[in-house]
Amino acid sequence: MPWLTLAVSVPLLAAALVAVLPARMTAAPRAVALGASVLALACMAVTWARFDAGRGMQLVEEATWIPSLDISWRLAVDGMSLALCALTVVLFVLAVIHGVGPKPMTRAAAALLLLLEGATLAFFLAQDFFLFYVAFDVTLVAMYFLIALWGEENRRYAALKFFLYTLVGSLPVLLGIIALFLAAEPNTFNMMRLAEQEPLAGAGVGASFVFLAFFVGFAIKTPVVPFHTWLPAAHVEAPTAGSVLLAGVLLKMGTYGLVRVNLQMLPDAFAEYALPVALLGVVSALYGALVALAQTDLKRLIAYTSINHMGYVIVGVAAAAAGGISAEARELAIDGAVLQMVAHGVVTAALFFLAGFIQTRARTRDLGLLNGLIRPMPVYGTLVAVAFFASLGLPGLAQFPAELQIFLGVFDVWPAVAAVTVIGIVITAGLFLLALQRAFLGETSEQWRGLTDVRGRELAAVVPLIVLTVALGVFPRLVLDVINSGSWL
Amino acid sequence: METTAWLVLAFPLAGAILIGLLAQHVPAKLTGYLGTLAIGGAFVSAVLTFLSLQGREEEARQVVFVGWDYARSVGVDAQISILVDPLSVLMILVVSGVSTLIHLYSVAYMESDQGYARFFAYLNFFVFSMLLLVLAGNFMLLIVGWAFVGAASYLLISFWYRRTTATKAGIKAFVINVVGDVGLVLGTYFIFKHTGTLDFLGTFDSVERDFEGSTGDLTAGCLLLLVGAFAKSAQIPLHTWLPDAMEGPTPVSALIHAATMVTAGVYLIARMHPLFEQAPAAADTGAIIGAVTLLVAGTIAIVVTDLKRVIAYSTMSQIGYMIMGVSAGAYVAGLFHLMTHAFFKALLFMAAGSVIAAMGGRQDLDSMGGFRKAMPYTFACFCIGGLALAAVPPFSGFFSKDEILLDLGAEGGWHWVLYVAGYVGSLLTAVYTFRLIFRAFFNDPVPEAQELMDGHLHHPAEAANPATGETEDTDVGFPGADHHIAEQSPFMRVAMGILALGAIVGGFIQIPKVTHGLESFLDPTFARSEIEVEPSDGLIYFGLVLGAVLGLLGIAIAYRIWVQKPGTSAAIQARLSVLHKLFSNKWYFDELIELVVVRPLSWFGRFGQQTFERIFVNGALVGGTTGLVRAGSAAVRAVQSGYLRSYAALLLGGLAVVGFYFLLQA
Repeated sequence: MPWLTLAVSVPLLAAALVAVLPARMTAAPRAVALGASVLALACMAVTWARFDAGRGMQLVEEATWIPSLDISWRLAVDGMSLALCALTVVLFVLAVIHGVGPKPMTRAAAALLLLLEGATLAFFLAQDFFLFYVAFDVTLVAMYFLIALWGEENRRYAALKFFLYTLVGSLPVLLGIIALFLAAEPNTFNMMRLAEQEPLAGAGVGASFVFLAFFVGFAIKTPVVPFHTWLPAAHVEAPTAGSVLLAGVLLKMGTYGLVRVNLQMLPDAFAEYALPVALLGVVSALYGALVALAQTDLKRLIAYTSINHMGYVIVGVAAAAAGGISAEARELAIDGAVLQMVAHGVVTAALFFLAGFIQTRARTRDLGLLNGLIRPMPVYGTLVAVAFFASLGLPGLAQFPAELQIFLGVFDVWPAVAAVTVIGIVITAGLFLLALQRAFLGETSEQWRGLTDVRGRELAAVVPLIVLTVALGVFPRLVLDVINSGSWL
Repeated sequence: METTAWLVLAFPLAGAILIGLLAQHVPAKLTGYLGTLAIGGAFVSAVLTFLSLQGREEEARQVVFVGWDYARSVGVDAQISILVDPLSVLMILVVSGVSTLIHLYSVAYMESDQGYARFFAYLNFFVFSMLLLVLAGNFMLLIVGWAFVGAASYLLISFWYRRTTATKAGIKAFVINVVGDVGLVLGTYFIFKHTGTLDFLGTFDSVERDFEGSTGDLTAGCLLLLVGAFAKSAQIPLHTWLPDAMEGPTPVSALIHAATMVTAGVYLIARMHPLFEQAPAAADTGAIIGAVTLLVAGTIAIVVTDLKRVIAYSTMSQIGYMIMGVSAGAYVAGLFHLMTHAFFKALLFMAAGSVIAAMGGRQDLDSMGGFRKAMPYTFACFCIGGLALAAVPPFSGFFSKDEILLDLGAEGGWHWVLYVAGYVGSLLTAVYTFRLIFRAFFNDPVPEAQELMDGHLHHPAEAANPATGETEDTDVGFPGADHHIAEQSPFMRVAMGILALGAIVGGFIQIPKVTHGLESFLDPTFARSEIEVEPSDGLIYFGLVLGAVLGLLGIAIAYRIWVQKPGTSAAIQARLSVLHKLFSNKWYFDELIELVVVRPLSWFGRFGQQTFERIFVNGALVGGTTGLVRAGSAAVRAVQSGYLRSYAALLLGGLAVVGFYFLLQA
């Protein structure tokens, strides 16, 4: 069975199916979406079981598509793809459970979620640059509509800003793809062959331009300071599930691309720019943390900490690209960076769900207005506390092993960079505890005493993420063994 | 032995989880017993581990047990492994033993608190973390335990979560502890970079070889480890959280902020002694900071008027002795003091809790007095703890402090400075300790003491935060209605009694020229040490006499000032007003940190938010008025003004780049 193709096509076909459902079947869109996302999850589970962590890129599924340009439907997995696909299918099931827009879920909402899922999986599995690029842009469109249709008050602006930024980012990526296509001998969009050939090795300025083109595109997506300003705006306006998917999955496209393309196909150019890239990562990590410290909106706060955490990933990848790093430290850094993508996906998804729950109850996320929430909502408060502690990197929870490995790898190349970056951890510790103190501890004012605790569907969406957070923190090898970057880097 | 060692960890962890799960479904009272039983189980396991360790050959008394691989091993041996050796066994005995007693005390002390079950869940989690810290067999697990302890401390300091003073203190403690965590992590990196292993024994075996020619890195690594040690052990300048941590319930102060957590730094330096001995600059730094801390904290303790805070500063000061000792190579002595201090300081806090209860929650020394007759049991315990702290023979603190200073004196060289500082600190200690006792227990009984003598406890008309005077209720999140049990509960008496016994006889294990129990027990751990001192008989006797004299002199001074001639204190304050101001403002460390660290960081955050972020956001969304905004928005408008056109332009630009590339190729 072509399990990868199935994983991609089931959500896409289901999206088409939902679109043509008769309008009177009100419960059907959600049911179809749930069924399709669970099927996709099952396909990835099978893939996980068939996957051999000792080998690199594997389980290739290939069908010629546009022969004249050597474009194929070519899917395959390695440790990084598999880990991110696993994250994707889990988050989409939870997002469907939680729902988007009015209840019951409309056909449009279900179709867009499924389209987004199919495109995201295609992006992480694609080994053909044409497919890679198409998938990249389709996710953009799907997310644009999710924000623009079911977001908050300023959704149009935010959606447009998100769209423009990312579109501007996707163009240099396209140019880079074309350059790599032309430089390859023979011309090809086959990403596996490009990674093997490194067609621009030793090409000097040309390679630098192509490197920069890809880097800018992926840096906007990640996002790296100073390309980040679309992110807080998009998160504040996006519906809860939109934020969850945006932070949980879509941001990882940027760092995934950085590893898959910049690091694997343009290693020489990356080695040259490793330090500046790392410094941008450091700036992101520290700036994101400091600005998060100044936020009063819970969602904006989480958004800025995302910039901080993705900054760590950038630093880790840059360290792996630098010359002079030992093979072991390089693997450490990349293993850590990929694990951080997964861990951040899990933790931040939980955080955005949780932020959404308070939004629907209190109609505000303002940390200056909320107070003493733990009394009316003890379960909610406990979940938030666990997620906060995970996000600030407490051992035993998901992000700790990832950050430990990243910094261990980075330290091998640039001890000073590692030392400066970890300051971010101190700041995030402070800001999360301050947020906890302001909104959850202290006295409960009259207006919040009647709030109901989380229940039912909300728990179903967020508890699995908390369980995963603990599991990854205690047994990180569950994922690290699969990632095993030594086998594909 | 393997099983019992793991059980030491398993009991408290299981206790924490069970209590967490059962809290809603069983009577609250049960969770207290369950928690105490779990820690008792850990203590029994620790004793069994101790016995089987003693049954082994001396060379085989350092054993590593591996649970599972934590992270994949690409040259990183990140495992869940524990190291059982005399040092860790001493620590688990002290930690689980004192913890059991404090759990017992808490069963009564927290009785009326609405967060009773939560308290025991947290307390069990803390004990688990602390035991993990001291049993860790590698740097990774040490970091885990280290951070868990900080988190548990946060949870317990903020236990009364509706009190703003408590939640603020919690944040301060946690953030400073994270600074320490970061130091520990970075220090680990420096060491790992050269040794290639995270395992303690592996690191120690090869440290000389691995750092040959790069002692700079080793020194840097050890200095960073010290940052971790200072943050946990409240040494200058990372000490400001400890006095504030007194916001937590008194059993927490006794357990975490006196007997166990704050001694983690001492343990760390002792554990890492093979590294520190190769990095003398780092070791000297530790010794100097310890000496400075013990003096500074001593001066503050003399003027502070909050009962618990006086004890907190005295904790800081006593840990200063330990840090100074282990940094200067007096390992056994430092750990000896750690052990006796755990007994007498936990005892002092328990006794203080009793007094505070009788005062209806108030902690201000100015409003206390004359409790001697009202609470004879507490008074006796306080005196025993106080005599041990003031190092009066034959109480335990006398022998352990003497041992530290003796080693420093015998080492000679510039360590004489530390030796002198230690004895100056001795005098300070005796003065502030007995100032406390005289002010709380002597002179005329205050109304609360009178009430107690008449047979009932004082109940304030309205519950209030002792620090701010804000009124409170007694529901969950605030202290319960009856933190007023004073010494009347048998649980509290038993716990205090056992600790008092320890505070009296604990020192006999190691008396100069008589017994060497601790030294010979710990020998396998410190076999690698290259520091050997043989104090002369003259120095031994001189030290014993000087220590005893200073202790008694301090008590005499305190008696003169606070009992014989009341008003002397005010006269001295007036005469030395500059010093008094410096001491009572705690040498302005809080203000300094606020000015140098907190303000700049939050200023930068706000600057980023209000300037940088706003310009970009506004520029893109609504356009702006200022020049920068205009510049920002112009760029965005260019794109927005029909992004097809821009698309085309960008595409052309990109094609130009590609063309340029092919030109270069040709």
